[in-house]
Amino acid sequence: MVCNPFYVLGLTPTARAAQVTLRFRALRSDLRRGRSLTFTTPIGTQPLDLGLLGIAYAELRDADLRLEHELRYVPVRGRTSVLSIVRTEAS
Amino acid sequence: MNEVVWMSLLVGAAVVVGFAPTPPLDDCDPAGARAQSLRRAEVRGTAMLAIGGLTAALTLHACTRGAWGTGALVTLLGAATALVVQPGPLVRAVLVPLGMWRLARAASRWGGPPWLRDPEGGAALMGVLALRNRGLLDDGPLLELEAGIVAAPLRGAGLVASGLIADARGDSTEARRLLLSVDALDPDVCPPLARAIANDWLLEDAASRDRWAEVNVRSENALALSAAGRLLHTVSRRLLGHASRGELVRAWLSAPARWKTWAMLERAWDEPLLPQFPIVDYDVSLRAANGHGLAGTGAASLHLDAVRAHRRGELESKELERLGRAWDETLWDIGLRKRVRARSLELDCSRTVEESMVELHRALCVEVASMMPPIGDIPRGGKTLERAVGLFCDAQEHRIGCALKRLEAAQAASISPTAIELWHDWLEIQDGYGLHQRAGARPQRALFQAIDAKASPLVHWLWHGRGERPMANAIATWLAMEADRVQDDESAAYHRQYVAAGP
Repeated sequence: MVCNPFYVLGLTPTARAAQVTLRFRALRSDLRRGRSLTFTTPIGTQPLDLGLLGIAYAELRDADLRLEHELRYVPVRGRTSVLSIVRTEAS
Repeated sequence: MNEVVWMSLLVGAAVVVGFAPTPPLDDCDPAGARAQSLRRAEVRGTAMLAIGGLTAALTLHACTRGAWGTGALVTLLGAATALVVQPGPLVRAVLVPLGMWRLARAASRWGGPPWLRDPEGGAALMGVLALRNRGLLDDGPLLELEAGIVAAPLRGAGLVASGLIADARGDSTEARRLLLSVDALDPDVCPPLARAIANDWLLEDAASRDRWAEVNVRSENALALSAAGRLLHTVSRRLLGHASRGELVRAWLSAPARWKTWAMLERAWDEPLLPQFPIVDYDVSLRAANGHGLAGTGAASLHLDAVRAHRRGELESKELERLGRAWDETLWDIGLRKRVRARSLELDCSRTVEESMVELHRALCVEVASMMPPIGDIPRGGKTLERAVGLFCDAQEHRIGCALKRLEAAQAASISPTAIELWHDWLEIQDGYGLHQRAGARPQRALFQAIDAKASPLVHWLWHGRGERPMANAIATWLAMEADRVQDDESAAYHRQYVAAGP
């Protein structure tokens, strides 16, 4: 729940596949240069590493897993709704 | 002539006490812990009587001849010899506060009160306490102390020392578990001082985690409290609204290390008394977990709050119950399924909506099940919670099975595990069984019989093969109690033999 790939990549469920790939490449490039990165979840900040990033990217590229993570996504700030799908539709 | 009579009388009494066993020795098993500690007490008593008699006679002899200086010197020598024979007070008053851990251990190993029931464990415990006072918690000295514990059968002081060593290594969960398990040992193998040290540590640990209700319950039920324990007890009562400032000040004045406990006094002094139903002051974004959200619209948010509370060890049964209900309402909502179907088509998913929901439900139940152990009651009701409870019971049965396998393998191993490792495995079984029982989802009798089938040979092996009578006795006591609970009379009768024989 805490390591939701959307949190790891700093995206929301509205992100398209191309945006996911772009964000993944940018973060991977930063990590390879030796920068220490973190990602924010609703219950705190956690360190990001290449392993976690790779898993998050692979999971978001799998449509079934992406749907599951979308169902469990809660906005990092001001979370008042349950499911991102509800939020997406409302917006 | 007078002093010769005195000396003869006292030395004679010492010889009589030393060689004639007292009646209790005839009543108990000569190889048992009680007989051993009585024998140690007799030897110490004899030595002290002889030293006292000799010193008194020689002092009297010197004083009657006007040699007052010699008399004082003899008295001093007598006192010094008594301290060497009974080094307990010296170790606790001087060596431990100064952090002289090697000397404290060596002197305590020499024996005498308060470690008559466990000299080896007591020596290690004094060593650990001295190390803690010195602030030296390197692995080298800790390993050296551990070697001393391993050399003897596991008893109360050794168990407490192992717990404090685990704490020194930063594993407070393990330390808590070991120190709580001291209560499972027979009083004959657990020196009261070791029990008091364990109790003090547990009180301090609960206080450091702000669990004042736990501090209150534990200190209320303690057999005896140290001055520091009494202070914690009063602070907990004050924070829970049951003690006055006067009581607090009195407890603080009678406790040691007043500078160190000043902050605690200040906090309890200023702290407003808690109402009967505490109000949880959560952030606005966390209100769903505090009962202010709409039921069924905050499941994911509740889940995150539950994860956070679980990590802090503050998750309550009601929160988990609310979470299970929220997931039930959310996942079985027709509207949601329609939206999921639409999204599934957009993403070109290979699973059907039903498969996706089933998979999500399974993953959620696994997570809910993993959050269950730290809470008081295990909540029931609803599809999510029932499935989570089932998974939780499976996990406990697996945990018990693994621990039983390790214990079975230990009996045949060429290099047998240490007593503390065996005790760890046994505690795993006890914890798993307790949690399984709390869940109440399946009958306990079958699980007990599965444990009993492997634990009975273990008790036999520990008693006869390993010479770990205290541990075998503690395990047999638990097995007999549980056999009574599940009405397995045959098993209860078998284990009572070991219980009756004593540790």
